[in-house]
Amino acid sequence: MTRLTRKYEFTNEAAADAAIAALPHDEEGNPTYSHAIVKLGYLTVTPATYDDEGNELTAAVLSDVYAVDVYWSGEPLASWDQYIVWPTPMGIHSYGSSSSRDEYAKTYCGLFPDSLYCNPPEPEELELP
Amino acid sequence: MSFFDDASLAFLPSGGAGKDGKAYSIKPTDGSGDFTFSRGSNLAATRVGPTGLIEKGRENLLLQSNNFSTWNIKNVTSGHAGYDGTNDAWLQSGTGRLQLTISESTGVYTASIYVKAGFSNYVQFRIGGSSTVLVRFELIGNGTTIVDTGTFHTSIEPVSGATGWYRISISFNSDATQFRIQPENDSSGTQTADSSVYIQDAQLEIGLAASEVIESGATTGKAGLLENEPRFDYSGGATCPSLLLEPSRTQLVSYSEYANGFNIVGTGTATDNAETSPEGLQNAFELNDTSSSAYYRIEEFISVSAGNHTMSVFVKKTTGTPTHYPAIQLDSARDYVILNTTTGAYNETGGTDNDSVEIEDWNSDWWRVIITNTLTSGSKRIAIWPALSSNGTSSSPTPTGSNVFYGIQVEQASYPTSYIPNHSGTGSVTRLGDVCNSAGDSSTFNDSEGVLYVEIAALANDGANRRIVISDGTFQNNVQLYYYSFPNRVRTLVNSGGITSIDATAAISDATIYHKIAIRYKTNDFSLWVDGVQVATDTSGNTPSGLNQLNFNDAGGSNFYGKAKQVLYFPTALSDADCITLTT
Repeated sequence: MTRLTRKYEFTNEAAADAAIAALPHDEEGNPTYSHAIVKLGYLTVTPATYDDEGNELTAAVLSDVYAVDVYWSGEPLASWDQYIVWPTPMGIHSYGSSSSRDEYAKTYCGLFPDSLYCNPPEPEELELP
Repeated sequence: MSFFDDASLAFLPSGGAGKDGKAYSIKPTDGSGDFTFSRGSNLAATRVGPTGLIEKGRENLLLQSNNFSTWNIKNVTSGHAGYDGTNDAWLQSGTGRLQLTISESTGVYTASIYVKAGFSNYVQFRIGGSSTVLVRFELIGNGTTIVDTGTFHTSIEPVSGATGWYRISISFNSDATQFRIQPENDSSGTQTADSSVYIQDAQLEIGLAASEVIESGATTGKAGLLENEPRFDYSGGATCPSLLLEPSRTQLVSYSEYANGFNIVGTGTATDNAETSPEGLQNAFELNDTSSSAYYRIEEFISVSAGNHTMSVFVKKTTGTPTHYPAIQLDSARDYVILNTTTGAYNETGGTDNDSVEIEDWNSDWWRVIITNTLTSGSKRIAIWPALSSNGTSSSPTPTGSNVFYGIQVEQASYPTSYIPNHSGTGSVTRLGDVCNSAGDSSTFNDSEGVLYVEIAALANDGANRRIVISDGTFQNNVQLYYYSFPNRVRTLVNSGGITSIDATAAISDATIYHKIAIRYKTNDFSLWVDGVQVATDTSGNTPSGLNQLNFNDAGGSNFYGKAKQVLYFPTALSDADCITLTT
């Protein structure tokens, strides 16, 4: 079965919840889909700063959009396409899956072939002493 | 007659059978009784293996890891005697290098390869990327690292029984775009046309230490736990495993093993790869407080949503009366948990009481400290001190000294689950939930009478529905055994055409320890058995129809998250004596 990681942004948590609620559920309210959904929330744009005692000096700056990751069982729903985003595949939430990671990176480079991630510069040729 | 002979389906994890996508029943043997299994995570999943060590999903990220003629830059010949008694080694010769182009995002990795001196007694091992990693090893005697740039750990180990062979490894925190190795004739890096070194089995893996070789071909090599492999778990020193079924959990700590990836506050040292961990590799870290006038800690601020969060960390045991005590904290507003590393006793001080603290006696060498708190949303500090207290009860900057740690984890939940490694440095990682279902068919189950027997333990006594169900695929016809919203009680439910025939519950001592439970059903004859005792009966009602599948959930919901040692189904209503024997 094809399982794909896709990343989405909503205007707020309520909008994310509405999209999730629209996925199929049984009469008891249990999800009947096997997609895995992780609500990442308002991601940190600029981390907070703290003193040596752990007291906050400056507050974190959070994104103004609400992030959700979905590990789709099968093809992603077309109705979610309007919310899809494609962050560079490094330092982002993952599902600990080799195949999903590889698929996301391959798809990303297909969509953004000129990106730095897909065209890393040649390493500097340092010489050992 | 034996119970095994009478059962039409027998699932015993001690049979140890499973593969990617399947959990095998030992009966029937035609495959119809096997469970379909899925999780979808390999690198985020762990179990305790039969050796008592934590086992991970592993991956060799290099392609063609011992087929160097396919690499981008090379001057190699094959067919040389290797470290493992094969003729699978290669000789890299001349003034050039062996190089493979790779593309790995920033994180903690370990690169390794087996080498033996040819003409050259030195080898340069390099990982290209935005931060170049460069190491020169001397292949003489026990081997030496003589130049090291850009790593946080290097290792050169002679291979036992293979004279002249070494496994060299370098651990680094960076991205990686090239894997390179080249022979050098001296400690200055001289290369000539004669330069050569034997090489075999290159590997690049996520994590702090080189693990057993995984050979790759056109795709990356994978070993250990696979994405959809059931986990037969030997936690707690068990000699027989259980099937471990856990919910999806997200590990919020971005460097779960790499101490130098944390914020470091105070005066002291953080040494990665300091000691052998519960994984059996040298990837536990040591923190050493060297100042008697200040505190020393590592810390990370993690962004959390409101709700229960559980932090867990392994702490190495000590012997004798400690001279200093480490401490763990989940949220700077909460108490420090000060641990006696010899006895496992703890004290809390310095803030608001923690909601719960548990010190798990993991094995003869390690404690697992578990702290659960209800947090408000926002950025919260987690921190570890190697020496916060000199008396085990109160904090003081005075004590100095070291302690050893491994596997820091924070998950949004009221109880901990198995360890989830994360080496990304910035992102969180989710281990997906285990799903195990669809064993048996209509020939396995008897609609008229039968017994479902399980030996199970819940992961937590938290009121969650955890169901094991034989059904026709709907809610209308089924035989259910489950834990439910009432603490420490087991429940059975049999539905026939949507009408309940028995709905009975029974008290148990503790849902998180193993109990032997059976439901016997027959028209107007239903009974529930727990640990050798008949605890409920119902003498009226019909039996379900169309039974054709056994699931660790109820039509896709109410997953049984717990541990199962045995699941047996009998297509006949066993006698009272048999039910007693079975559940005793």
